[in-house]
Formats: sequence, C-alpha cells, structure tokens
Amino acid sequence: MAVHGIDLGTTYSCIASVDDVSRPTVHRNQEDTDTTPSVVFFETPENVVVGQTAKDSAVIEPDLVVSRIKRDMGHEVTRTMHGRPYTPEEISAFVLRKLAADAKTATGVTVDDVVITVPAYFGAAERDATRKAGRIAGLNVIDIISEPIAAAITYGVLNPGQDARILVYDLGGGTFDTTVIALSGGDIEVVCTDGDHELGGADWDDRLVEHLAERFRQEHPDVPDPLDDKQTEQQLRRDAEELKKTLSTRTRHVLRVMHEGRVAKVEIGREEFEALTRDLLDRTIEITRKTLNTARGKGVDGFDHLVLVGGSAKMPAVTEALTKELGVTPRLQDPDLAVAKGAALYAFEETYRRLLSSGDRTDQSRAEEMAARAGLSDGQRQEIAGRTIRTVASRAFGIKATASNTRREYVAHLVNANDALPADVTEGFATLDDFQTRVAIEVMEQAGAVASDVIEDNNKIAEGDLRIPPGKPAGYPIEVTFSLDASGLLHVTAKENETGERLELSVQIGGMSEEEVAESRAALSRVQVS
Amino acid sequence: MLPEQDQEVDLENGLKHLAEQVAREHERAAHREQIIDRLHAENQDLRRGLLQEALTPVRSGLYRLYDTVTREATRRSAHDGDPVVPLLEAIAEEVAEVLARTGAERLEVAPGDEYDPALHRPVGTGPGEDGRVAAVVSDGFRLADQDRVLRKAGVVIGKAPDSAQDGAQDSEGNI
Repeated sequence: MAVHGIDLGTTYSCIASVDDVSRPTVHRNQEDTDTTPSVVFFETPENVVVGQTAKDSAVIEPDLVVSRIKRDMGHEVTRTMHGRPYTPEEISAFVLRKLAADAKTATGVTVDDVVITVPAYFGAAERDATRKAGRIAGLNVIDIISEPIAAAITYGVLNPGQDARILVYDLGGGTFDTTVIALSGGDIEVVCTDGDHELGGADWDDRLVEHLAERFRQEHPDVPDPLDDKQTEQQLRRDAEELKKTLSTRTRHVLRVMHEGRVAKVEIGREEFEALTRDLLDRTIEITRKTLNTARGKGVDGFDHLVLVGGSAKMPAVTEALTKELGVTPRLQDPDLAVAKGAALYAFEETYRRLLSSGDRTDQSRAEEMAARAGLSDGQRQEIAGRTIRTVASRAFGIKATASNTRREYVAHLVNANDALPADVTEGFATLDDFQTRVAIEVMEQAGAVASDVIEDNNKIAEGDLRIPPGKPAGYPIEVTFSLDASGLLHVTAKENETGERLELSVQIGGMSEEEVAESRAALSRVQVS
Repeated sequence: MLPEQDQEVDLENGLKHLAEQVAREHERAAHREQIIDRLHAENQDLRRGLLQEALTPVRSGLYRLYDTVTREATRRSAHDGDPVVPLLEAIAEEVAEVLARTGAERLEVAPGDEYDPALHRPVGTGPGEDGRVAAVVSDGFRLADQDRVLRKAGVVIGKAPDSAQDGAQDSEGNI
C-alpha cells in the first residue's frame, strides 16, 4: 500500500512517497522535472493539459489557461471554459490528477491515499475545498496538513518527547510565508503565521533584468530599449535566472547584453546583486520579526530551530541575513521539495498508526506489510507507533448569539484557538422570545489574528434553521455541538430534545456540496488529463 | 505440571520465539538484497545521467551563443550585401556542430509545420494559417540517442483573423 504526500502549490506542485528504505522520494513528472507548474490549459472540452505545456500555451490561448487557482480556493468563483463553469476545486483536481498520473507512470503504483498540504493561514473553508479537490480527482484524502508543519517534519525537528519551537521561513517563487510552530507535550500548534503573498523569487529576477537593461541603456542611449524587444527581454529573463544561480556559487560574473548589434558588458558581483535586492530581503526579515513578536505575545518567546523552505531560500543572502539578524544558523536542505516530502512522511506514518490501532486483524497485518516494505526495524516500528502528532485548532469557532438582557449580538465560542483536535464540544442555548418557531444557527469563524466575540471580527461560514415546536416560551433549550477534526473541518449539529428535531451543518463556505463533488468527480473522469 | 514439562514448554516457547526472530531477520535481509540490486541499477543509470547533467551548463551557454549570433545574422540580412552576415551564419553553424557533438541535434522545424506542443514553445501569435508555425524564432534541440527534446523551438503560431468576430460584423452589416 503506497500513500503519497502532495504539495499543491500556487505556482508549482510536487508529489512524493516513502520509498523502500523509508526515505521520502519525490516523483518526477513526465517532463522529467521534480515540480510541475500548477497551470491548467482547457485545450478542448474533453482534453485538459497541466504543467509546463499548459504554461507555454498561455501565449496562444490565454483565455483557456488558468494559473494560481490556489488563491481562489474556498471562494465561490467559477471560470467558464468551453461553456462549462469550473469551480476552483475542479480546476485544482486537474492538477492533482496530473501529479497522480505521472507518479503512476514513474513508479507503476496507483496513487490512492494522499495527504495534501495547505498554507497555515488556510481556514476551514479553504481546507475543505482542498479536500474536495482531492476527492474530485478520485483520490482518498486521508488528511490535510499545514505546509510549515510538513516542512518541519522533513527537517526532523518535530520529535515527540522533545518540546521545540520552530520558525519556518518560506520564500517561494511568488509568495512569502513565515510561521512559528510550537511542539509541546506531543501537541503541534501553529502559534502564528504571517507573510506577503505578492513577494517572491520572481521579484529578485525582475530587479536583475531591470539592472541589465539599464546598464545597456546607459551605454547605448541611441538604440531602442532592450525591454521593448520581446526576444531580448526573454533572453534577459533567462540570463537573470542563470545569473542568480551562478551568484549562489560564485562571487562575480560577467554578462554581455547584446541587442540591435550592440554589446554592453556587465560585470556583477554577489554584493552588487544583494544591494540591488536588499529592500526585498529586508521586507522578509521585517515580516519575520513581526511574526516572532506576535508569537512572543502568545507566550512563545524565541525559537529553537529555523528552517528554510522554498526554492528562493537557496540564495546565500537569505542564510546570511537570517544568521546576522536572528543570531541562528538556519537549516537548509532541498527547500523546494521539503513540503512534499514532509507530507509523504506524515501520510506514511499516519496510515501505519491508523492501521495498527484499528483493532482489525487484516488492518494490523497490512500495517506490518507496510513496515516491512519500507524496511523498518522493530525499533523503528515501535517509535512510529508511539509518535502521535496532535494538532490544535488554528482559529476560534462559534455561533452567533444574542444576550437576553441587553439584546447585544455576539459570537459565543465553542471551539477556541489552540484547543486540541479533534474537538467535540456541546453547549446549551435557549430561545430568546416566546413562541419562537425557528432558531437561526449562524456558524462563525475567527477572522483576525485574535479571537473576538464582536460579530465584525468573525466570518460567517455556514448557516441554517432549527425548527422549534409551536407554543414554547422564551428560554426553550437547544443544544449545539461542534466537532472539529484534525484537518480543521467542522461539523455542527443543533437539536432540541422534545421532538428530536436536528439541524446538521458541514462547513462549506461557498464550497461545493457532497453531491456536487460526487457529480463532478464522475463528469470530470471522462476528461483526459495530460 | 511436572518441572520437566515446565522446562519443555519454556524451551518450546524459546525456540518458537527464536524461529520468529530468525524469520524476521531473514525477511529483512532479503529486502536489503533487493534494495542493493535496485541501487546498483539506479547507479548505472545515474552515471549515464550524470554525464548528461554535466553537459547541461555547457549546452545552455552554447544555446545562448547560437541564439545571439543567429539573431544578429537575421537582423543584418535586412541590409543587402552585409559582408558580416555569412561570417555570423558560419559561426552559428559551427556552434550547432559543437552542440551536435554533445548529442544535442537541431530540431527540424519550419514555417507551415503543424503546431506540436512537444516540439514547439509558442512565443506569440501572428498572421498565418491557424494552428501552424508562422515563424521560427529560436531553434530547438533534441538528444538524438534518447529521442528526448532538450529545448523546444520557440515559434510564432499562426492565427487567422478571428472568424467569430467577422461573422458578428457581417450579420450586423446585414441588419
């Protein structure tokens, strides 16, 4: 039984699984690269192309190409292609199907059980949408975990029995995130998370391109701007990318910008490159400091490990600046694959634990088979079985209530941030007026960084009506139960005991219903994905 | 139970335990053998792949040189009889030769070819027959002995004037 971990990224995605020497391995796609652009091209109604070719196709069919769909997860927006509206869940499902199909081609093993990662700031709606994307893709999503937690697993800094505070610095191609995680007594908690979703490695490239063009302009003011010529501009982009890589290993490099038969020789050193992009790096440091301050406010003073994630974290200036500013040497290993690998490790261990503890004889022998295939020794098996990584709620959840004396509307919290998951909480409420025939149940999720009972500081994520038997006076009791599972999915039940009338709500803010998911899974399975 | 019987049971249990342990160890050893086999095979592949990998930066430098010289030759050929053009073309050919010796051969791509996303990287659209290559902007290269495309050819794809829009204008004209 193979379980996979998937890093479903904004610009790139990646799939990994635990191999037969119990190490996480990334599966290359058919184009022979570790990561696949999260770009979907609706070539025809029956054929969808995902990845680099889809990205290239944006030039010829921009209206049929969708990128950065992750930003729309959990929102009610659709894109119409060939006359059919597609939800963000469905578009993401195509990316997942491409990853799964290519992994199968590479290993011969069908991808079925998966763990998908999401940013730490994703709330219940976005997590739910991600899980549904997996279901539409025909996958069995065993869990949804936060990207910084996955990265910390890869770096081996989340060891139960060893409390730790971890700072995760994630600089990707187009986004920057920084998160503080605390592991205490086996509980993993995302203490706080911050970032800039318009800041990434691409900004560093832009600076280099502009610098090279400017040097050419200075030397040859009489010829047209090199950036006005599409071919020269593309060449400069490639040069900038190469230059960035070269300057990671060498300290100086000479580049010749050629345009309109003229040449400008540009010599650039690492220091100069760093000076050109200093403010970008400073912005990441500033956000990191802010995150640490927020963590301090929540009682997490300092950190034990600093781990780097994202391809752009490879720039030597990042390590240097963090070492200088924070006084800690960051850990850096395969930062662009760390999230997918961590998801694979988590998927493997979680499946093993679930099988082992199921109490079913066949499940237990499947667990043994899994361990044998990964070549685990008896000691390692015991270690994994005993390791329980529990997560906590990232935000507070409650229902809208009205104080009977002042008639002030507020949010009554049932689940608080940092409550251990899964959480099951039941609380009693009562009707406000005589002869009320229904009670509106409005489920609220904390919107800001701190929990607040002010309505405006919360988002309504679900609502429904509970019928009340006729002729009841004010104060008629009702019971509300919140159950929040470890991936942050919320089920709400409201009931009154006399007639047994119940109202059940699963959180899907602007999301798809279970029926829609099943329908779309069937409908889209006829679409070819390559 | 007699003491002798007791001992026998102990012994039996011990043996059973030992047999189980040996079986487990055996299973793990067999597993390791399999892995060694696989690692060996992968290592062989890797050696071949590493050679290709080592050539990558050399090739990307040569592609750049080839592109630059080819572009300059094309730009200059606008002026008739520029004596530098044949020289630049010769240099480009020489570079292509060196690339071919590393295994990278030029893709045969010409205007009029049907658009093939496996060989072509569209860089834009221009007037021409719909869905066909209208112009080749940069040559592509393939690894001849593995039949793998190393770099797609940069092409402009033909796009006939939007027929749907024409239709709309026509019907409007008729009304």
